[in-house]
Amino acid sequence: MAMEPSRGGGTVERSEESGLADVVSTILDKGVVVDVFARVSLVGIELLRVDARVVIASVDTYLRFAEAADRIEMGAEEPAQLDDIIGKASEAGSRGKTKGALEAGAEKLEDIMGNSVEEKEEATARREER
Amino acid sequence: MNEEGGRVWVFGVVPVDAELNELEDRDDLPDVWLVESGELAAIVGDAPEDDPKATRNQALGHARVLEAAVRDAPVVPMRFGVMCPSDDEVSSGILTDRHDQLAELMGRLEGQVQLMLKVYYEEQVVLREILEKEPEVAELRETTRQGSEEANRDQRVRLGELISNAIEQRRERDSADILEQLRDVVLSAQSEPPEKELMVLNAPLLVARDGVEQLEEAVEEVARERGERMQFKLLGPMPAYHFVDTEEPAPA
Repeated sequence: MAMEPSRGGGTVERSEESGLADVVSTILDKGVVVDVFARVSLVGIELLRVDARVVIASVDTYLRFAEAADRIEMGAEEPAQLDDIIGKASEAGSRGKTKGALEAGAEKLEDIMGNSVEEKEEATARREER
Repeated sequence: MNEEGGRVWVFGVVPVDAELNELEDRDDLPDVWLVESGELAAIVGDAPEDDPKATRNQALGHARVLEAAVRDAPVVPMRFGVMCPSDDEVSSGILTDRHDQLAELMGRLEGQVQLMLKVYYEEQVVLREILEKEPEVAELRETTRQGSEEANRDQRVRLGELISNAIEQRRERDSADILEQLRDVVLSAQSEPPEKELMVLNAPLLVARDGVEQLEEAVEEVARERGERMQFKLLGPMPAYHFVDTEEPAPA
């Protein structure tokens, strides 16, 4: 099995300097406010805020999980009993449908701003492989 | 000094006698200077241009200036976006009018720093675990695998929702376990909502300045025990953003 040096295996990625995705959730909503001089709204600050917005499970999330689960190859797998399953599955969830696509929005924004956690992690992995 | 009468950006406040060597030595940070009053000094700089890229750079700059300062001194971090018309206004409106409250806060932060612990599930590992342990999920997956993608979209959504719920259950248990294991090496801990679907824990940790190494070792140990199941990321030291009152200190 190929080893991936910087991932898994109980290692801790250590960073003394935060990236953009890390800082928005701390500096935008935390820290001391002195609003004798109103905090001026900066162009682009709302974009940062969207980037920091917390994940809300959405249909997009669910479909992504379903797809990822699809690709998992299990070991000794028993053939499914189709008749047993259809009954249970037909109550398929509509609950999540109205929750919106915030997560998708946040991901797109990260693409634009080009500073997602994954990219950084990949970059770190590449560096450490050398 | 601020030249063209532009606005002054306030990063944070440090003790007036702080020696900010790291901040002075770094040449990859925004230019900053100190405005002093009484026991306090504000770290200030030029406000950014008003465009999205400048705002984004300022966000990184704001965090990094304060991260550099906190290496050498206690720092009261300002929230992103505090600006004043001039150095004089920083001195009178912030340092003088709010001197006692800021000094009190500074005293509390003396010798304390914040780190952020971020923990993520390894997707493959946690999905496999859910498929192995939750028959309902495994059965539904077999169903959705056999139909066409459009035909069973609802079932796929339901499958994803079950997985999401299963992750949520694990998240509650695992995040509590991790924080419990770190209890002896932190002064205080919070748990912020996850930023990503597969995030287990997003925790600001308040630790003694001389306890950072101990925390690092404890996190290493926690990570080792979880093996391939989770990824750990430890950020900081940074100012204690999550442990300062975010209410505005009342004017004296």
